[in-house]
Amino acid sequence: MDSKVVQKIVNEIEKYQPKVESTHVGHVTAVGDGVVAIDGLSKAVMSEIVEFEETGGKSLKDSMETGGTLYGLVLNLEEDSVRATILGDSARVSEGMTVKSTGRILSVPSGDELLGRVVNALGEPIDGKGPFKNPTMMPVEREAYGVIFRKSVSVPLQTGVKAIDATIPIGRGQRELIIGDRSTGKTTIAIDTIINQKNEPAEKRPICIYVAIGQKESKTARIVAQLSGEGAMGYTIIVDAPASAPAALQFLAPFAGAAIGEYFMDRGKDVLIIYDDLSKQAVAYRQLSLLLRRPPGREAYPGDIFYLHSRLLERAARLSDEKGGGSLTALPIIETLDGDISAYIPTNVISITDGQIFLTADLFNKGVRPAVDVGTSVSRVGSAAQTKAMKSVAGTLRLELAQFRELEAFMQFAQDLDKATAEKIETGRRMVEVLKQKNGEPMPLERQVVAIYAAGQRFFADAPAAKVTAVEKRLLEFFDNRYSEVFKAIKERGIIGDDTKKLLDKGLQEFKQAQKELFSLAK
Amino acid sequence: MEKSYAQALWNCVERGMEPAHAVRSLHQGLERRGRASLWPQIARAFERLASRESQKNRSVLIVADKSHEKEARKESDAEDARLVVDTGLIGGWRFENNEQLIDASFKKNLLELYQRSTNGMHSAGYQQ
Repeated sequence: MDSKVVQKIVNEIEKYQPKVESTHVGHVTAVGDGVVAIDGLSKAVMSEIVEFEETGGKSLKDSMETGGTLYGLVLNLEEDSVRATILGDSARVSEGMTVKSTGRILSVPSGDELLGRVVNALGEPIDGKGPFKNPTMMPVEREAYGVIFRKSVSVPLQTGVKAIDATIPIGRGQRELIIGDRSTGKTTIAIDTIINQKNEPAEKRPICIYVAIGQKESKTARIVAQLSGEGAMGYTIIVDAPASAPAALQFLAPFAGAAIGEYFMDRGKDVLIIYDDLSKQAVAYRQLSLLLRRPPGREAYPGDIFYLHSRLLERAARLSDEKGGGSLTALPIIETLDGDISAYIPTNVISITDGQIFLTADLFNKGVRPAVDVGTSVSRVGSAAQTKAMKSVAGTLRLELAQFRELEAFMQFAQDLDKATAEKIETGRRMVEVLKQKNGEPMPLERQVVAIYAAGQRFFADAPAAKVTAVEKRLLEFFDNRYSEVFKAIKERGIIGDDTKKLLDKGLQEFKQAQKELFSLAK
Repeated sequence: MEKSYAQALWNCVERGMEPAHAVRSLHQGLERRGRASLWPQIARAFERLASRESQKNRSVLIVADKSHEKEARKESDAEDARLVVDTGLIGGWRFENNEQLIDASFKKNLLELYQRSTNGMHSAGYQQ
């Protein structure tokens, strides 16, 4: 045996001081589907962690071979028993097993050493990079900050997605729902937002937490690889409760993510947390509640399903300066069925959040990506946080796009259109093209501003709609080479000053003259 | 419903009513109310209740070897506890009484030592 190992064991033996203490215990009377009924534990409290004693009746050798300690979470306190959910493999629990009270509520480790790591819903590392050395434990369930500790949202959180930053701006501390059918690009928006944070200066860059709930392991692995490839893992933590994890862990994962985020928020940092997705968490909670024999309500969800999401999302906040000025921005994701946003869980979460980004399968199938339906999407507090530069170029964009969508529908029946309407449609088409973006390619704010300014100036009117994206790309390259001071000025000052505006107009004119062939195919 | 009847029966017996009389009275009462069909369920509920109560008040002293009994009883102050021998404890004793467990077994200490030596990792899932 390695001498270091021997020395470690010797040290441990020398340090060890056996202690005898009294523990409050109970016994498992029934176990099934991840839920146990426990007799005894009459002093247990809600959300208390209990420990299953797997070693009872086993020899020392067998006891040493049992996996790590198995915990349970008390969820029901009944007249004559306690019901708890098993936070692990339920096959390891048997009838008659002794259950010890720990007197502690569920907590997860947090701290700087979690950055770049993948953890499970209990905060245990699952990326094979070893244990945490000195983490701070944060309670998973904690009351959200009250009004006097908060201040209003005023600092923008740049997603790098033109359609969002221009029309549905998000502020730090806001809760913005991303909602849409399956495969409409919800996760893509969330991941692009994380990637885009690398464009922020290090001191202002939010810590990003991605909570995967009920997702396929392959999808989470792909996301981790993508974030690593983009150099975004350095400021990101992944909390993974895959589809194969017990329902209890899927239900707990968002709360664990929030607890990890609160550590940073309490220390004055900005945090972005993505819950992907809360529909699956609701399903896991429904399963758990039914197994706990709680009365089912609408769609068999328990009566406190609204409270489950509201208490989670209320933890998103922008703290007052006295509290350090940190923030926790939440981007929950909800999956709809056939675009039905009036279903139970979607309406609940829509009413809790400060706005929603609605993605539609129709737009997605038409090739509009990200498939954001600007008409239905809204940001209730984000406009106060939008940078002046973006506000000045995108002021009427939302309205114009909404009008275009209506006219587009009407156009299918109309024979001939008057000039003004035709122009609006053509402009709208080009605007939609400008807002298109490839996934994994978030765009820094200054570039977005230039592109949207150009579109607002009808710059693309002479270019065929199908080529607008290519023209935009060339235009931004042109500005990179010839007018990079425009980008610099917008980035540093956050506004388009008169001098910058002059340079912008000059640059646009110059580009048009130099690249006539790009605009010659019009009409 | 059956739980409430079983609990009532239990309370009557606990307060000193003669068991046979208590059972007879309950049965007559049920028949009068037309609820005699509940009788088997009440019996099962009563059985569960009795088992739970006996668990609650159980007092068990577990030792690794019968020869350690005297010493264990003295140390744990478990004069009336039922004795169980479990060689798996290796040494020491375990005493469980009224939802309280005192574990002074060698097995527990050795396991703790093993876990500390092999697992430098924090105990995730709960506050240290």
